[in-house]
Amino acid sequence: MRAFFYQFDYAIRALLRRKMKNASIVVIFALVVMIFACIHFISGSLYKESLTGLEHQPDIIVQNLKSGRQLPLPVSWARDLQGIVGVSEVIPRVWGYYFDRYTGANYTIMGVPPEKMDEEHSSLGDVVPSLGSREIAAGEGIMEARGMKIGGRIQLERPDGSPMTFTTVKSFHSGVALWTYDLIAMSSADARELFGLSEAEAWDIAISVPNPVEVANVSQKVLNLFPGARVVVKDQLVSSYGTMFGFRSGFLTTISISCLLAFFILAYDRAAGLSREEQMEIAILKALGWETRDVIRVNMLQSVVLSLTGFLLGFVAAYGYVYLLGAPGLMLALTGWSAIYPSYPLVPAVNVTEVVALLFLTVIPYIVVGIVPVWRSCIIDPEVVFRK
Amino acid sequence: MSVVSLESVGKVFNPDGENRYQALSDVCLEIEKGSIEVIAGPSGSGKTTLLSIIGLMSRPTAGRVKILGKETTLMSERFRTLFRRSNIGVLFQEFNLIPDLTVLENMNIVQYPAGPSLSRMQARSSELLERFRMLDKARSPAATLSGGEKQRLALARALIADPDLMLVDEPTAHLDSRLSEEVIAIFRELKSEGKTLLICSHDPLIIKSDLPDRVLTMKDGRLTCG
Amino acid sequence: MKHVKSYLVILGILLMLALSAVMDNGLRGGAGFDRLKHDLKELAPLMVSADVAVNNSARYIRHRSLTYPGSAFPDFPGQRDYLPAGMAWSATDFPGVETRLHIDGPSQRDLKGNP
Repeated sequence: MRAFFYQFDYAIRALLRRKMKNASIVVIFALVVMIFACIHFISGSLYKESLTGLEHQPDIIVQNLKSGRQLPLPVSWARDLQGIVGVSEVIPRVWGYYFDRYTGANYTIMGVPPEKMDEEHSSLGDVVPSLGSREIAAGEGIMEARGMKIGGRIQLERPDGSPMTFTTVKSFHSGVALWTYDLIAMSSADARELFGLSEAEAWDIAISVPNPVEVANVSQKVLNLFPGARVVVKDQLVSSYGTMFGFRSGFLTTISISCLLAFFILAYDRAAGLSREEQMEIAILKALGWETRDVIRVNMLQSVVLSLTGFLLGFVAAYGYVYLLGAPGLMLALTGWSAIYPSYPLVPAVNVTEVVALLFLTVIPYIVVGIVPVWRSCIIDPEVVFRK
Repeated sequence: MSVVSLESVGKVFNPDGENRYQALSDVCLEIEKGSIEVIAGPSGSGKTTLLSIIGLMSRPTAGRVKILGKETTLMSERFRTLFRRSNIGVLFQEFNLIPDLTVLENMNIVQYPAGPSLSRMQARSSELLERFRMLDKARSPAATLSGGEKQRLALARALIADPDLMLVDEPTAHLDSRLSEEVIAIFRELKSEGKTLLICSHDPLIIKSDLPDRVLTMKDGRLTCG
Repeated sequence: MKHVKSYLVILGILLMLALSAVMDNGLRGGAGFDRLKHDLKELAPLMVSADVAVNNSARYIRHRSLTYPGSAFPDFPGQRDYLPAGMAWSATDFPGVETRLHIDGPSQRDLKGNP
């Protein structure tokens, strides 16, 4: 055991003798791990947050298409859909986007159906309050952009330009900013009026199917009833998000490949061979009575020190950068843009298994690739090296 | 008792290649315990190769090598290393110190694989450094030493394991006559301690001194008594 | 051995930091998502479906390449054609549902057998 510690000490001293080179390797290693980890932390958090929201989305959404564009659909469709076996709830929804000339931003308008607010023990209230006529709950972004306070008034315009005045009764809290930053919730009737939709129209229909096995059957039946409709199943949304945050997303792939490339260059440098100085040192150690395994052990310890230090530095830096500092800079590149943009804090969603996998995929190969050139130097007679 | 016994030892470099080179041919040699043998000969005559084979750093391509009564030719690489570590000290022509390490570290690295306690290791290193008047330089990097100091350090390092056999390659090649005399005096001292020395040198100062018990001449890879 | 000791101290600090990150991830992340789940349970069913192609509730988290000129929901009215991506994403197949038209005809095997 003492021999191991002596050799460990020797390995570190050998690294310190080439300070600049080895410090650069640690820094590059840390940087590669950090960038790789950062994009995966960010996309992982956003993906998990999106999936959390999707969990409670309706199982099926029916939209009306004409000329490839989404149009309002007749509320009468809801009655037909309610008749499908396996369907527990059908809600015609009224929602849309409102361009606000004063702030230059688009707001998302959500009509809350009356049946949701009339319930005796409303599931709303904590996040979404019961809203009366001309009352709204607004997202933080809108409150800030319009300089509003609770109880304040906001004027929006109908399609014909006539104003509608609303009272703000609640602001959504920042925990759900990703979903509500630009959101205005109001009663369905007010939303209809604002958008100029008639009582007989809705924007889409949300269908709840309690039995997941039945979702496909119900969807088929919806398509049979309304062949021109667009049926969006929750699973499709989940896979859309998966695509967006997964390997098919161009940005993630580009950065990941760049990181891998940088890592391979590092590993190649390690595998490419030893300098004359290093070969000489190995020959001296061999001549002084070190076994091949002693020399290889020292080399492996050096690789462990470089790669493990680099990895841990990269991981800790990535975590701090993403979850403590909010990933300034990289978030701009990885997320979208809006006139009112939430500065929502990312909720940590690091998959520890993935981190361990990343550790094994970077540290272990780096250690392994260093063995071959050292072993090759070890099997040369010291005399041959000295003569060179 | 023979400390070194060579029977028809030969060494060929690149045996199947175009630049095949016969470095040693049919070398027979017996070295008695406690003697000092000098192998003289011009550069390229195979002296260092012979030393390397006796020092178990290289394998012969023909013949048998016995060191301290042990047949080493068929020993595994590991046993050769372990055997060399405890029984053979080598003083290289170019010293082969690690320049960035301090004098003390250069001494200690020889002992690392055996893993003695830190105090024992330091004590042994200090003892030898003191003997060779190098203790005051213990913390200096080897690169900053003069030629004579390097030689003394290399000698101290070779004696770490208190070996029975010392192999010495051109010990005075980089030294002036005063330092050479000093080294010769050390060799005498080692002999008086019962150590066996095999010295490769073409320095008349060594060859013509009363140091060697025998002087052998090497020419074109062949050994003759001379 | 002082180098080993110094390195082990550095490694220890780094491991402690990494461990803290993992613990923070477990505590803050777990609590954060629990709170989010609770909040979204009320909100999400009413919300516009977070279809990344059709719906701008996913705007902030959509890929940048989807949000720039020609993208589905740019945040200014000067941008024309503000719905195309939603239309471009056809409803993909899902198990048990025929979303595509299948035309019956001679199979490849039949064609090979009867040139």
